[in-house]
Amino acid sequence: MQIAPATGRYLVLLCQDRPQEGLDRLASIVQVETAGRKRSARRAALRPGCALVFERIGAAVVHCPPDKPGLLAGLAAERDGAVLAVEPERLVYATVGRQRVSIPTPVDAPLPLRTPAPARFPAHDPVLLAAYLQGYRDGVQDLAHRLGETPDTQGDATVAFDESKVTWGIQAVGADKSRYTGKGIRVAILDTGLDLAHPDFAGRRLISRSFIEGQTAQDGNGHGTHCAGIAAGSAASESGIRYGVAGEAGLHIGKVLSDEGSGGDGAVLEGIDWAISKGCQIISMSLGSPVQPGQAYSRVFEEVARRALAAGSVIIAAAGNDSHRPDDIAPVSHPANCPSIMAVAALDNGLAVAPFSSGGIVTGGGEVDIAAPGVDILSSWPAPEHYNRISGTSMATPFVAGVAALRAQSDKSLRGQALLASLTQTAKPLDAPARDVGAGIVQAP
Amino acid sequence: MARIRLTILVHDSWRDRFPEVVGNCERAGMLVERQLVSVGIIIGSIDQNQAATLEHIEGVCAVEPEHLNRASGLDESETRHSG
Repeated sequence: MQIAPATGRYLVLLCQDRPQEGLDRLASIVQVETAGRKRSARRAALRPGCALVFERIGAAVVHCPPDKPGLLAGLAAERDGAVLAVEPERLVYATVGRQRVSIPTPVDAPLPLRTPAPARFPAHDPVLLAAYLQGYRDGVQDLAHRLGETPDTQGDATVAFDESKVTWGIQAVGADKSRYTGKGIRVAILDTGLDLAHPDFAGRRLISRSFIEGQTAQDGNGHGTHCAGIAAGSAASESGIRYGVAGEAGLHIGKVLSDEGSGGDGAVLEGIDWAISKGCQIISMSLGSPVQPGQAYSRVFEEVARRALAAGSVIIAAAGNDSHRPDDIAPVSHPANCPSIMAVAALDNGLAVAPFSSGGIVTGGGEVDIAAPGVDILSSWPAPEHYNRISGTSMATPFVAGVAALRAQSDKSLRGQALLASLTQTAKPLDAPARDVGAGIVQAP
Repeated sequence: MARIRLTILVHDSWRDRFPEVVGNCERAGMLVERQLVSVGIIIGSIDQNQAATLEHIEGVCAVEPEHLNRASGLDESETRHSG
């Protein structure tokens, strides 16, 4: 990598509480265009005197006229202003494939950075600052991509998988190469239940309970059986194809979604409570409810997730399937948008983010933490089919849960927060923004 | 009067007095359906007009309306549509 000269552009961070006020201040210095509103706006940021605003991340890239950097810096110095920070953009170059990609990095000597009130943007908080800088990088990378300066690195990545004996997902997370099986680890699948008569679970010791009135834990939908199979299906499936990650984990099946595939928070919380009481180290929840951009995460679920972590249980949840990429990226769903719940994005077999996978377009809760296979996934299904291929962040979630079981087996100290950290620290980075895939694809030990 | 389903988070420092918080919620008009002691959650329903009173009960940390969650899987046709 080499450091390039300054580009003449600046990154401006707006106060999320008062974005319009920040834009008005910015407009007093340069012409402001909003990304996505019209095609010409994409080019605007390259012209001196123009700013391109990314509304979802509350930031703007500004091509400041040579005589106005002082005015721009002054915005960040305004007392109680709506502009939180102004920093010069600097580029480094990384070679990806045969083409060069521009990736801005944090600057060493920023323009005056006003320290805002902690409640608004605690810049001294290294976690939030890192998230901010990641958002910065992602935002500008996205801009560069839209301007046609970069190749579609995800599209170039084709990975060949032979599924004759092991599904592509199992291979992609490296579970087929792991010597761990999840033995001694308890995994709860909170979903639509399980086909208790499925041949691949015959003789398997499992505990089940329904939290749906009038329905047993028997899966009348298929979704729960599919997810349980991915997380903890036997390595010796009757199909002859291995599709389960942690085949010897202790399965706890909590039916919190009806046979119609839906359920209220009450059933989900009851399922979490039950799983914790049963000593489950991992709780997998392939479920969710869409949220609006900017909508706060649930304090209830966040606190419950913290209490679960304190009890040694991690909660892993689906990021959601509400995006229509590349044009529309939906925010991470409830309850995966809680900071203490691990949010999982879905990948296709080229290890590119799935078009439906929700993205981490909100910081301070709402980020994608990790990614896993979630397109065209083979797993168990209720009779008479016994097996089915479906897609969704629902399928990606139990891959992470299964790998978590392998990691928990590999090291007894990996419980709760330590287990979550282990999953992200050992994930394999991907050529995609953290907004879409978090730390990368989960990897078995 | 419309009833709404709610989830109540009991403050950490009140978890050893969980039954007392439950009783106060019931006296405020809540029909308590589930008590999740280990995670400090009360679930139930109440007339919409009375819901605001729950926030003022000692030991109550947060009151939230219940979300309806759905399985986050897609069938083949939806996948193709999304793509």
